[in-house]
Amino acid sequence: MVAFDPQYLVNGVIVGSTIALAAVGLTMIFGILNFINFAHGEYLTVGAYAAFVANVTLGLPIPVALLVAVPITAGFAVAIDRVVYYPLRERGLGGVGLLITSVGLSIALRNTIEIIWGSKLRDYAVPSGQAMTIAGVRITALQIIIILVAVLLMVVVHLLLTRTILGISMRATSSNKALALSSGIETERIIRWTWIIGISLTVVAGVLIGLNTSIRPSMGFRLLLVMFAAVILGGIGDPYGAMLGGLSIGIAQEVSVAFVSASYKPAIAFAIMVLMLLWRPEGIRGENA
Amino acid sequence: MLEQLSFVVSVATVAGIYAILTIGLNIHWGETGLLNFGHVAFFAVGAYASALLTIPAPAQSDPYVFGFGLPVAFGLLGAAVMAGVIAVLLGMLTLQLREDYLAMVSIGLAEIIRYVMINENWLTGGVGGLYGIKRPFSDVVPGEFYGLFYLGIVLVAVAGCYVYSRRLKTTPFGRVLRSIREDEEVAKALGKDTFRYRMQAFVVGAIMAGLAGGLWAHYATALTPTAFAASVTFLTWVALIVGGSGNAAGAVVGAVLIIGFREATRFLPDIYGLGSIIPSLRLILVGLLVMAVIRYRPEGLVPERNVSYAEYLKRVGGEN
Amino acid sequence: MSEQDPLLDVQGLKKHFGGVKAVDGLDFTVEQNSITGLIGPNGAGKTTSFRTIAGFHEPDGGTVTFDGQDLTGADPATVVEAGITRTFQEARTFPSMSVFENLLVGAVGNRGEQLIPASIGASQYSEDERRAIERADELLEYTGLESVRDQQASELGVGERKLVEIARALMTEPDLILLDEPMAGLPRDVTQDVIEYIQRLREERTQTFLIVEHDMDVIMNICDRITVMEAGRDIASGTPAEIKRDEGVIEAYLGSDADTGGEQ
Repeated sequence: MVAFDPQYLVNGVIVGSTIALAAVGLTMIFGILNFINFAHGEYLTVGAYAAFVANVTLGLPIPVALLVAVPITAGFAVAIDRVVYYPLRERGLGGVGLLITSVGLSIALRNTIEIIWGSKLRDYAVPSGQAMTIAGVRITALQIIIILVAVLLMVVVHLLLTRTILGISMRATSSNKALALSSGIETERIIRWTWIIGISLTVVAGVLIGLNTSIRPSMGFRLLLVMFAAVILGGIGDPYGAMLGGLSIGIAQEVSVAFVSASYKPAIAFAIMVLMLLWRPEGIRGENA
Repeated sequence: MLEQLSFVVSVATVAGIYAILTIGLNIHWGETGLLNFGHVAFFAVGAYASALLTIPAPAQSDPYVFGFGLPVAFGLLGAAVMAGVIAVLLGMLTLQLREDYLAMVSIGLAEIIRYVMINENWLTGGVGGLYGIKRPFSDVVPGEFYGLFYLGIVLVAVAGCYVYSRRLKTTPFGRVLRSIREDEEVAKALGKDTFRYRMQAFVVGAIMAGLAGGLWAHYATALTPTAFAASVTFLTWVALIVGGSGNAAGAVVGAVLIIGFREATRFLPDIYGLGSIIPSLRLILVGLLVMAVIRYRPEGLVPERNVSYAEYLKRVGGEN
Repeated sequence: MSEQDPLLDVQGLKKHFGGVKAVDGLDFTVEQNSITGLIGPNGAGKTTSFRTIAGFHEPDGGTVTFDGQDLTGADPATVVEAGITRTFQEARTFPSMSVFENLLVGAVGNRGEQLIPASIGASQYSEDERRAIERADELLEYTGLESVRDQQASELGVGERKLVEIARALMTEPDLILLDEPMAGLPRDVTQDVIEYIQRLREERTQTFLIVEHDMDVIMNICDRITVMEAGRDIASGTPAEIKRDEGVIEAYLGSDADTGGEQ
């Protein structure tokens, strides 16, 4: 009998908070797109590498690198959409054609990054810090910061959605586009802001993951299914569900190590996603989005 | 000269195996509209099934438990059957889902299967895999001709799958599949049990993929989980899209092109020190190719044709 | 007409979606060889009733009896087999299949549609297929669509596609055809063609129809009997003349799109 080790829980929270952040970004964007974008992971990767260039190559401190990486990646995402997806949408191409295109795009982007920066794992220029032991669990100062940043951003998202006109409009638009249109909400503006916020969260998640482990060209792609699993778990388009879903999956993955081989970790996320889609496709929170 | 020939033969063999995979995927997507992104799972199941059925009983030092030493024909049959069984199980779970959800679930399930292959040493030999898989008639056919001989076996299998798929297209069954692809709700309104049709199409395509897996096992003579990564699924999709979805001819053309391209560029000279980036470059080209095809020629190289009035009539022996 | 039981007998039909009572106690009948209309303001529950009768929704109450057979809660396949076939509002043909193929899919009882016989070979099903081909040919000629037989359905105009859809429904040899807003989205001149087609079918092939429609002109013109729905139940049944005079009906339609006399 393995006594329950709180270390797993803590590891789960660290990983889970980054997944949660990425999932919130994805769920917002997914809620306004009409197809599954398999290249979404690459936004996370590009963001992480943009911060890497700012931080390691240009020597900027990490918080600044992060602030720089967000608009760069957002601009990149907009450019990609204009060049790749917009012409297809104009032609009335359906979700499947867009999906297959996104698969091709994902491969092309990922390998371009690999050509430029190589396939080696890279790290940000931050002191890794000593692992402290608090109440029997090992954690570094950096990891505590990661959790705090993630939680802070989720609180900001919550405030945005509940206290600002933009946020309330976003919620209205995501739950009923037609109604939102007719009640005078400028959906174009809302969609643009949803994109920006979604990408920003994704970039931060990428950097946090890079800080916790390292960055590599396939990081976004590897995380993509896990992100989708969190989004499905929480209900598509539901930011709170995504937070819950990401955290749950992170914890589930880490705790699973007590029961099965550690190399099954990603499979845990997939299994959760499959089970959710079969049992309750609208997500844990159901219609409460 | 002989070395070039042997290279061509091996490329053709792999292309043939992928052609069978792609014909199977065409039955899923091209004929029925099933967005199956887990095709490699059937390939893997077929390969491991055929291997386990035909390798000798494990020695003490072997991590795996099964080995039945049966002839290769049994292995291939087992490959097809196992793939079909897995398809039934997966199908029951996933075919009621919306098409893009089916895409995600099928990837997830294929990945889970891959993780099982990596971890469950007792079944698959784990990361070390299975080796020493026997080649059919290797004691009868002289060594220098064996490659050609095996290519012949693969080509027969390709021909069989091709003919079957083409004929299925002109049958009433094939017609219903297409109608489900076009508009499932209307097909239901005409009284068709659409779940059953989709399941049957799923199983038929999976059986082909399983057969391809079995042929791969006896060609490669060794299996490791890395050979069954999602890139196999991806390559099959590229082959189908580029070649032309909706017909077996497109599937074959696409497979030949994509595998030919992959193998032809595998050994590019290391000019200007670019050698290290060639693998990535090849993949970028493939990604761009997919995007270009969808944008500029979504029907692929061999567009789908309707089955004509005359063809239907011919099938039932009538004259106009 | 002799005393006959109605072909379709719907009693107390109920269908709720969560708190919304889309259909809440619907009673009406359809007589053999009639063209019966089901009308009502938006949200009255007409399409939901249709879909429930056709087996696309499970009813929450009531019964559906067809030709003596209880079809309450049956699935679409059973409903079609019993003899009811429905069409859709938007002329839903199979777009990339030819007109001829569209019709062929409609054939029922074709052994070639089963995987094993189809895999074995045409000898297993050639009779069924030949019969289906003949029937499709005949319907194409009757409907006047032979010239577009080999064209992809997506290339046809909306009126032709509507005719293809009805002809395809006829392939299932239905005793009753449910037409769901057949004139939706059709230009005026085409509407006339479809009306004439339906009437011909009733006269020459003793086909029975149940039509849901918004266009009052069409309904008044073409139907023998009309049932009016409001808020999920029937409020009046009778001939067009009777319905026109019914006060409850007039009130139900006040402020809704009753007099759509012009374009749709």
